[in-house]
Amino acid sequence: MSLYPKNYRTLRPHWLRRIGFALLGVVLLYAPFALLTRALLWLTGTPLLPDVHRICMRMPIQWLAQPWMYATMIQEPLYLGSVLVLPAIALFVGPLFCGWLCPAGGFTEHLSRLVPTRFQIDLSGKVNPVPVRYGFTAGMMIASFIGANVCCSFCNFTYTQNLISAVFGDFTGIAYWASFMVVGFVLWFFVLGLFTRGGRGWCNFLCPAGALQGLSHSLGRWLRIGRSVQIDHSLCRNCKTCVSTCPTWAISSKEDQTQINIHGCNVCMDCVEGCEQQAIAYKPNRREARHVETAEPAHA
Amino acid sequence: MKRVGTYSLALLGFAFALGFGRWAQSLFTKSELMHFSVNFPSEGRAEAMSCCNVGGPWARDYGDDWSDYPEGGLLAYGEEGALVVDMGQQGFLKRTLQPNYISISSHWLRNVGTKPYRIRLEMDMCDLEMEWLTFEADWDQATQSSTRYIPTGDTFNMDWFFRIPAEQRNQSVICDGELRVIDADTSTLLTDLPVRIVNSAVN
Repeated sequence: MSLYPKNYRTLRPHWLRRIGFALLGVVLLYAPFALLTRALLWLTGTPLLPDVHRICMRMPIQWLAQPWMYATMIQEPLYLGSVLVLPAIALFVGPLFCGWLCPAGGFTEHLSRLVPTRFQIDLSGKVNPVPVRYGFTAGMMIASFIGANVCCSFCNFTYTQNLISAVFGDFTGIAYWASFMVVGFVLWFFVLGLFTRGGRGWCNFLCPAGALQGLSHSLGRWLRIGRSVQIDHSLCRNCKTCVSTCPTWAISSKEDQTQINIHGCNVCMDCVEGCEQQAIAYKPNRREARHVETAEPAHA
Repeated sequence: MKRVGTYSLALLGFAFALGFGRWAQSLFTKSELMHFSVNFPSEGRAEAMSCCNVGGPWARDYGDDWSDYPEGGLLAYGEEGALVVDMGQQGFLKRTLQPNYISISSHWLRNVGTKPYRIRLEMDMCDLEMEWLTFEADWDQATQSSTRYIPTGDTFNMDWFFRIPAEQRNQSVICDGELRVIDADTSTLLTDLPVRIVNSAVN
């Protein structure tokens, strides 16, 4: 199987749209712009400088296991982004933030297309990243109880902010490196980013914000509310184009049946755009859809 | 069989988080990017501290709601009464790539007094080359003072970066310095915290 989508030209306009949205994510969340962050800081009267850390996507997830921190999250509502707002959105429309707006994930995904495929690791269909991501998220949540630090030590949002700041002339973030920051950066940007097929290895294995949204998205499907990406098997010819297209390795083909693992899907809709049979659509979670899609993912 | 594989992968992710997290924390607490708390004012205070106002260079016990860092009088990250940065315990990568550039950080300069303070910070560190960094909007670097009053219970934050000259790195005590938190309006000392940079590898 080719590492790249068979219909590269078809997908190019779609990828350009997604790159545009990822840049919008930069403008909304990352310094020096951080327009959404600025607005929220102003609304909440928080006297801090706006950058990606103000709407932290990781610490609040760790705090879910620390009930004494709930008051802090309520007093400082910017902390509710990753544990309430994004999962609530994902419940109805899926992890659109991950697939479209998140610059940390989009950055490595889009850049990875510039790396020759012969240099990339292809884990699609070989390893199911979903349980790893849930396990990692659980580990991060209990880390502080055993004297471990995960959420700040290995933060790809920080690495992204540091790179963006450097592009705009502020080199403070990339000037200082601790050992764990070097390991985290190399893992995020190189090993699981540029040199992994799809460029989303970090998202697939190690992103707790994505895990929470994936869980919420699956709950939406189970409750038959909201929308998700679904396959119409009466139209599907099992050509596997969608399998090679999916950057999150959420689509698999086994025994002539193509399936989407909803826990891993980030609703980027590359598969919808790439399907020549138009067998894949982003549509409401209705009864018949659930009937078709409830099969377990085909990963071993 | 499939279920065993799924649980094994989940366990792998879980172990990865805890293993790398332990490693990172061991570097956090000894040498690289040390974080610490400082409560002010410290004058005449010796009381039970809770998880929410830990820190400060004075004697204390842990409150009933304490459930986070190890017992025994530690600061959030560091040693009671003094912050000790040990360059001898840097990780391999830091020691190889950037051993002479170190950082300490406090996101918890907390006002535990009964009135708001506008604070001035003095970091007396043996004339080491030093940079200041904060994500506070109300900070005047020229006067090293906050331009807002920090309400009771509220916090301020500051990071410091030090460049250690290569010839000083092989000393067992590189600098015996001090952080002072001062009332910017009255110039009264609110609290101070010893900050020591050492290199245990020399011994």
